[in-house]
Amino acid sequence: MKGRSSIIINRVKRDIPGSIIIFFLLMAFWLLISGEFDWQHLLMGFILVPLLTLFWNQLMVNETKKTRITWHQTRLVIRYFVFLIKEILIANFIVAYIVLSPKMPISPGLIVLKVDLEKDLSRVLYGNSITMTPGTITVDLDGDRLLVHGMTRHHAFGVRSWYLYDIMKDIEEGD
Amino acid sequence: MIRRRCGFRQDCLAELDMEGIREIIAIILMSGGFFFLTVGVVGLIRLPDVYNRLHALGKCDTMGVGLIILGLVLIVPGTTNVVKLLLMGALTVVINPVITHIITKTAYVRGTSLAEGSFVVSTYYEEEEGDFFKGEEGE
Repeated sequence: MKGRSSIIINRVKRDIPGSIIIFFLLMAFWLLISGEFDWQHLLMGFILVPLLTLFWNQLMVNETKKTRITWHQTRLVIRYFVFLIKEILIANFIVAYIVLSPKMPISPGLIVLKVDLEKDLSRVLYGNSITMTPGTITVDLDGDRLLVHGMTRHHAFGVRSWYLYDIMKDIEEGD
Repeated sequence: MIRRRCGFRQDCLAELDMEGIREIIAIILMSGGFFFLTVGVVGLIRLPDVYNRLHALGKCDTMGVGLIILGLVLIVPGTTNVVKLLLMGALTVVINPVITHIITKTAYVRGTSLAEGSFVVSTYYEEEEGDFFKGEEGE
């Protein structure tokens, strides 16, 4: 029991900036959710948030694989999300058009593609982006093999040369 | 509130204070949300197979719920409720594609057949073989 608690405290000591960031995030979240700033809420936060921070350290802090984000990458990520929102809006109108038009102009099918994304985070983001954007759904992403279902032939082949993929590659490489 | 008793158009514009404009924007956003949710359900009924139905549901539900939440954020009182609504919106946007992906993958692994006339194409070995456009029609 004693050894376990000392392990947790060691982890907190090893990653003090991360713990402080998690502490402030949780504190801000708690104050926003409670919506009041009197001393009872503050006291409750100061009791509970450090406890949660300890548990989160046990879950999250990994000394070997830490994600480092540069300023260049941040700008690219913001650009990525702006384009993603635009694509989501277009996607919804396309689906609405296909569903509501009497003839239903669909030509569905599966397409296998090759992607070279290595980090888990960017793979998840890219897969979800494909699902949210016009006429395509990610069916499977295994290794570098991406299986996509497209609603029309045009959209399915559009994934092959997609500009969001280039931005995502830049985000992965950029330092 | 928008008051009904104004006579001329000019008076109407004068009576539209910030609250009224906010409510009108909220109503427009929420109507858009209802439209997209309806489109999702219509697509669920009309489209031929599991994969195509998920296209309609996965996209239109995210958009519909997102728009309704945006509309509610404008008219709900208090920071607490706004934060909770935004949290719900963020969770929806994250969870919806993941669930869509899980259902699609399960259907694929179980061997659910595609709709009639679907194509299956592989562009994986594009570089080696040069011609990517080789695949069989139908399933």
